[in-house]
Amino acid sequence: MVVTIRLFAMLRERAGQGSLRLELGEGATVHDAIAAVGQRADLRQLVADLPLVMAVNRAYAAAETPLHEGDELALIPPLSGG
Amino acid sequence: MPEGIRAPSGPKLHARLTADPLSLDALAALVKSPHAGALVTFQGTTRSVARLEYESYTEMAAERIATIVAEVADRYRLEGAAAEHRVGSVPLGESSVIVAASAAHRGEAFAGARELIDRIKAEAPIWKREIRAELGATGGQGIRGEPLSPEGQSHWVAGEPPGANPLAAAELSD
Repeated sequence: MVVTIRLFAMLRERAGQGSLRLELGEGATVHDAIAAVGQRADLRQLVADLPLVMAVNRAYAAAETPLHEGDELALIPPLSGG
Repeated sequence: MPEGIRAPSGPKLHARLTADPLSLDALAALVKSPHAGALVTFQGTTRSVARLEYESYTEMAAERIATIVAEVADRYRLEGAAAEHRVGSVPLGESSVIVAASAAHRGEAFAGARELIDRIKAEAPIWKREIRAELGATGGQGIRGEPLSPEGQSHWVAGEPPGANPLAAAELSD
């Protein structure tokens, strides 16, 4: 399946773009998606170092949440609003 | 109207992300009610840097703040709840976030305003970068007059992982 990954803040800067398309196997979960992004040479270090959370279709999602074709995933680095 | 009974139309709710300067007076006006004996506001203001630059996951942040406003109003039986967060560049001394809560009595209004700002900071997908000094044609100066490089003049603020625990917070609202 193909999903869209949204990137923000330091992740967006490091990747040089705000979104990625990612091919994942059927039955893939949020955990698998984060691991796949962590395979990219440009994002490997940040994904390893940051406590990342993922949102699926604009809602925070647990690591075991299953993904579906066309889902919009967002890698959420530590928040600093306010 | 008896004590503890809110207006039949329900609480006044408002949530917004904006690139424009924020107005505490305008926000307070949105939550005023003839049933509210207390109105508490809070503003978070840029300090100690030339400016802050805010980036958001705009669609989700707007939804999240609206959800927080509705849940906090319900939990504290508020007459009105409102919150706005600024995005883009916020100069020194200007507000980056404002909240307002009105209620029959001050206890609920203070508690509601406190939870609004705490949950927005913990759950809304927003990130800020500190700009310590503007780079002019000659490269700019730091706070102590040192020359600044483009790489050295700004950094993303180290924040907290979403939470304390947004998943737990979501379950709480069910």
